[in-house]
Amino acid sequence: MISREPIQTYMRTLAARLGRLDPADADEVILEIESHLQDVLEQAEVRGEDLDIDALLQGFGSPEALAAQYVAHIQTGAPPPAGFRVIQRVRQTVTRGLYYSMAAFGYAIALGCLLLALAKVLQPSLVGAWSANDGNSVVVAWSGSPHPAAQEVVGYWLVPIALAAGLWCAELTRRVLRVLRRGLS
Amino acid sequence: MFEQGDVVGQDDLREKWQIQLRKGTLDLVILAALQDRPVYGLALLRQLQRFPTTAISEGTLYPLLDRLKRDGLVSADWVQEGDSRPRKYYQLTADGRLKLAALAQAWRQSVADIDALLAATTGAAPARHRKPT
Repeated sequence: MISREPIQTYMRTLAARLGRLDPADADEVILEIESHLQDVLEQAEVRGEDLDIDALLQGFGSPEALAAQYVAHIQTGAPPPAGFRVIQRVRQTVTRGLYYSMAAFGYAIALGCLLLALAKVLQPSLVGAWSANDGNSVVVAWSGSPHPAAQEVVGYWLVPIALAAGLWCAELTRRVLRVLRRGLS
Repeated sequence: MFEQGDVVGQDDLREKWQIQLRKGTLDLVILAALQDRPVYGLALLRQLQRFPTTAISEGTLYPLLDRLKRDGLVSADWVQEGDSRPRKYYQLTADGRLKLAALAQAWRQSVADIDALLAATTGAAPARHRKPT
C-alpha cells in the first residue's frame, strides 16, 4: 500500500497558496492535480509497482512554485501604460480606505446585532422592536425603560432574527473584504 | 578521436539546446498534441514524454494548459467515464486551430531556412527556400 500522506500535505500547501485565485478556479486546479496524482497512484498499484511519491511530486515542483505559476497572470497581467503607476497608487489608496471603512462598518453592524440579541435575553423588557407612529414605523431600541405607548412586534423572536442578521452581515463583510483585498496587492 | 570530456560536453550542449528549443515551441507542441481529439492532462504528458525534445514535467504542463485556456486557445470539460474518476479533457478551440496553423507554418519555415543555411555552409546544394508569407 502506497502512503498518500505526502500527497495530502502537498495538496494542502498548494490549496493555501492558490488563495489569490477565484475560489472556483482554485478548486478546479486542486481537483485536476489530485485527479492526476490519484490516476498515477492507482495505475502503479494495479501494476504492483512501488511508486516513488517524492519523485512524482517533484515533477510538479514545490507547491509554492506551482501555485506561483497559476497566479502569475494576476500579479503581472498586461504591461502597464505610461502613468499607470500613479493611477495604480491612487486606486490602491482608495481601495485601502474602502477596505478599512467597510471592515469597521460591516463588523460594527454585525456586532451590534449580536449585542442586541444578547441584550434581549438579559433584559427582555428593555430591549425590543416596537410599533410606533400608529404602525407606520418600527423602532428597535435598548432603552432605560419599556416603551410606554407602543406594542412590541416580535417579542423573543428578536433574538434569532438579530443573531441571523448579525451573522449574515459578518459573512457579507468578510466576502466583500476578500474581494477588496485582491485590489490591495 | 573524441575524448570522454568531449562526449560529456556534447551531451551537455544538446541538453541545453533541447531546453531552449522546448521553451520556444511549447505552445506549438501542446496545440499539435490536441489537434486530433480531446486529451486529459496525464495522457497528454505521457504523449509528450515519448519524445526527448517535447518531454516536459507536470509542473510545466498544467499551468501552461491553464494559460492556453485563459487565452481561449483550448477549452476544457470534465468527463467521467463509467465508474472512473472525472478527468479534465482539453480540446482546441477555433482560435486554437488558427494559432496552430500559424505556428506550424512558422515552424516549417524556420526548419526550411535553417536547413538551407546548413546545406549552404557544408557546400551542398541549397535547399529550396520559400519566402515568408
